[in-house]
Amino acid sequence: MGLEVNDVTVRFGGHTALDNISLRALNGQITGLIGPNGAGKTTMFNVITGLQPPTRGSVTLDGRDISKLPPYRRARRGMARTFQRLELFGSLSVRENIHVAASEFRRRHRSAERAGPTTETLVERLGLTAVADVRADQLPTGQGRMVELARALACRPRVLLLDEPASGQDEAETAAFSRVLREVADDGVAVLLVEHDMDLVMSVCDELHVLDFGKKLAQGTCDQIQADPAVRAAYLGESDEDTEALGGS
Amino acid sequence: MQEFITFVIIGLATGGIYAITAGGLTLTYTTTGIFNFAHGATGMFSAFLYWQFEHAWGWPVWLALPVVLLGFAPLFGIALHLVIMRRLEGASQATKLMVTVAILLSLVAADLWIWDPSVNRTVLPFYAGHVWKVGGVNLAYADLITLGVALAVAVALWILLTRTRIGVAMRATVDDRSLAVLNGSRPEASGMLAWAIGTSLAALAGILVAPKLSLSPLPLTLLIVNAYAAAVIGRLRSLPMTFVGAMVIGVAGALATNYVPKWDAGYPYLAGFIGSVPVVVLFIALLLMPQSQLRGHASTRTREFSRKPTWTGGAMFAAAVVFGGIVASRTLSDNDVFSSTKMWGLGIIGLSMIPLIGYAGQLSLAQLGFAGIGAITVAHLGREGQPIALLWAALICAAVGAVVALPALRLSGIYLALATAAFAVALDRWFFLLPKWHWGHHEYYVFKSGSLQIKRFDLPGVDITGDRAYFVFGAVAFALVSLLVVAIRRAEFGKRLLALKDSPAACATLGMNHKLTTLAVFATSAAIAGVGGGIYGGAVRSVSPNNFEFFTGLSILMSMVIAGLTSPGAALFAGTLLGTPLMINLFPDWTQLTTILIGLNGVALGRNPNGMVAAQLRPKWDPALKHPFVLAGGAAVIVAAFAVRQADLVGNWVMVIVIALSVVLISSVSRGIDNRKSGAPGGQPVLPEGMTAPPEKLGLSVPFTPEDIEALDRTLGLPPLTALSGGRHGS
Repeated sequence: MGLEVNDVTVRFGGHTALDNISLRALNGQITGLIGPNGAGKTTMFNVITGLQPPTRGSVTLDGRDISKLPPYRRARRGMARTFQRLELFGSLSVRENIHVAASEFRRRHRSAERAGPTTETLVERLGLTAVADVRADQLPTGQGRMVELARALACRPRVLLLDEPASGQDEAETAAFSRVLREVADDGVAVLLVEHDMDLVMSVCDELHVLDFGKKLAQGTCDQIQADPAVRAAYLGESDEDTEALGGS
Repeated sequence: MQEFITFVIIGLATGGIYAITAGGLTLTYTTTGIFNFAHGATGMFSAFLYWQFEHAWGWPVWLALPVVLLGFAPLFGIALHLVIMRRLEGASQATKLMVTVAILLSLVAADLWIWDPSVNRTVLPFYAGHVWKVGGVNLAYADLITLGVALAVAVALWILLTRTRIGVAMRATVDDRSLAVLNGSRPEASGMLAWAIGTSLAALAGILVAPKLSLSPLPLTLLIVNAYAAAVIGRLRSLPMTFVGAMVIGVAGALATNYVPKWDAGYPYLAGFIGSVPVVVLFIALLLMPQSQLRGHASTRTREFSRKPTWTGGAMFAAAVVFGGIVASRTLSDNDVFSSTKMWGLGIIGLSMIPLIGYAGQLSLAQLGFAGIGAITVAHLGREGQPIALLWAALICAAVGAVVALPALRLSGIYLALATAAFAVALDRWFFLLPKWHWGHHEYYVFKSGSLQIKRFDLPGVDITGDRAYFVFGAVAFALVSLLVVAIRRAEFGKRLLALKDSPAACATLGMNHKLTTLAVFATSAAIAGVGGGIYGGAVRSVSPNNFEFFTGLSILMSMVIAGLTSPGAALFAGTLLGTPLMINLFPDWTQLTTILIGLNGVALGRNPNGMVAAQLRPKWDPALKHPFVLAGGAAVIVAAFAVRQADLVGNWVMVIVIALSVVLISSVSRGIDNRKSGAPGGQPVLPEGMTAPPEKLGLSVPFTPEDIEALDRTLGLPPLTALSGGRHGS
């Protein structure tokens, strides 16, 4: 079980941002969603989280249709996300950012046995101790992304959507990040990852979906995608160096 | 039937004026993203100017009209853009709106200053008395002209925005300014053009509508509310829809004016409703709007900040307020105390804006309206002076506040502001003016078509019926509410509010029900305003609808904005400025000065959106909190000064001077201590032990002594010279 997107189409006026796309993100797996800029990846995230109503199609979470639910109810069903353009609570400190999310979760699960992770453990786990009391809008982008991840994890999600989490991060941050990502997936969370850093994608993802101009180009394991001629042609152009990059490490 | 047609035509003409106004409003909004609240005031000012030229100075129409419409108005619009509006880039929606409210206040104040409001002025319609008879229906030339002009304006605007290069560029600018610049458009040019045209249209509407209303500032300024309704029907985008909406509102209003007075039973109750027709239309339009998408604020890093208040700071502020209240109540003259008692009620109304506007970033223009409801509640339910009436005021206002916020919850900020403005105007024009009515054997009334008496509260143990005692009671109530506001900010609720302001989209994806949170803060703030209204009512003892006019509410809001919407100190400022005779005592001949000052300061908001308290005062007095001894010493001197005054050993002035000096000293001494500790510039620089002067001065303005050499060596960790052989540097 996990997240399922069925035949989703989104049109903005005459422009088709997503054309009849279906995908699945299974619990305990990291599913990659890749494609050039403008392929519709962020739109797909907005559809899944309910920020963008689709023209057609449905979204199910653990077998239950959540297409009609507003964003906050989807979040309460266990969906969390980060944003490509950071959506931090700029006037709150890093700790308060995480605390808002954690307390939101605790209020709904007061008696439940699955108490959410505390703010302090998350601060520590994501290496934010040094900046815990800094206002969030003062952070560099890389750390800002870590705060968004911490905030998402504070909701104890069953499905986690990450929108270009590694852009703006240095190598050390990316390494720490991919470690956390693996741990999260091993806890049974379905992770859906949009990312341009191919090294990261290829090293952590269990399955990949490739989008291009709103159409699904390919789907499969990392090896299958790397070998797929259509992906090579559309996503990377046909030059050999680029193909190297894809198959790279 | 003839009558019906006549009124439809009159309605269409009025609708035409709304259409011109709404068209200008929509144009500036779509091009610059600024919703111009001062649009009506600009039209009002232009109409007065036209009256001055045409009527007072006797200029011919063909000269006066172009001078206003093609000269003054566009230049004023361009000046607005260059001096104020273009600096607002990156400011929050609330700040942008507040700046235009400030312009509105300045224009009205300037108008009242230039043109004595007690003089009756009239503007004759064009071709007054000329009518055109068609099939037994008399059509006034003026109405036909208005209708024709409105049509022409609508078509011209539509062509400008959709069929011309500059028009397309104007629309592109608001979508993505930086992108438009990259593509070679000049946002400066289109912004200037939009403001020039928008202001001219406002002037045109003002001149056309002036004959229909009397030439007085407020009705003309509030004409804008009617135009909002039309603009909202067009969703602040579509000009054709705006035009249709304006016509519907105009005709509905004209028909109501004609037919409602004929219904004897209902007329007294609906008399005010006639004026509220556009407001009702606005509400319906808001209800029918599709839900707006949740958006983040990622693209704009706001320059506004909200510092987390500390309990110590809050407690110090509350204590200072109460002490100040006691001192003032003992030293001011009877008259001054009486006319200052209302400051605390106004202050609490100011405090009510902090959680809603300061923390949550939601605009409400109806806080004084809620205060009015609170005062009415206290008058009705506290007839014997029961203090419990304040609780009722809070509860009733919370409920009403929630109902007002409901239609706008699905929508973004600007519409919430419009809904609250509409509500406040509906209170002004209708609800507060309702006569007595009977339902069964009960008699109900709101203001009894006059004023309501309010008895001061009957508190156990203390008598607060006297002005001086009530003044202290007000100060205590204000201090308590200020602590409540601090508590809200420090609690989880406050964090949620700030989070909601920063990114509604992120809040939703974390599972926060943003509608419920908005509703809660709206109700809370309405409740606080209601309590403020009750305490205000007790202060002035007799309240009438005039006390709670929409316009006065804007002044309170503006003073809060100027002083800083996140600081309780701002509410003290607002209360003192608007609720005491301070300004009149200081400047007796300048009755409009307060409003003009508020307006001008508000206009400067673009530069410093955080307000005076946060930007200027806090940095100066916050350090004192870290130095309890300084604070205690200062407080002791202040209390001693007051005690000595009480014992009649010194006069008022001595006490005031001592207190003022101590307050200043508390700040400078604690900052001095801080500077000495950190060695920061401003205090004495910290020199390494043994050095006689800062290194850069040695050998230049002071002699370079052997001690300095030793000290330098020590600081740099070098072996002392004496340890080296020879001592070449020796003196």
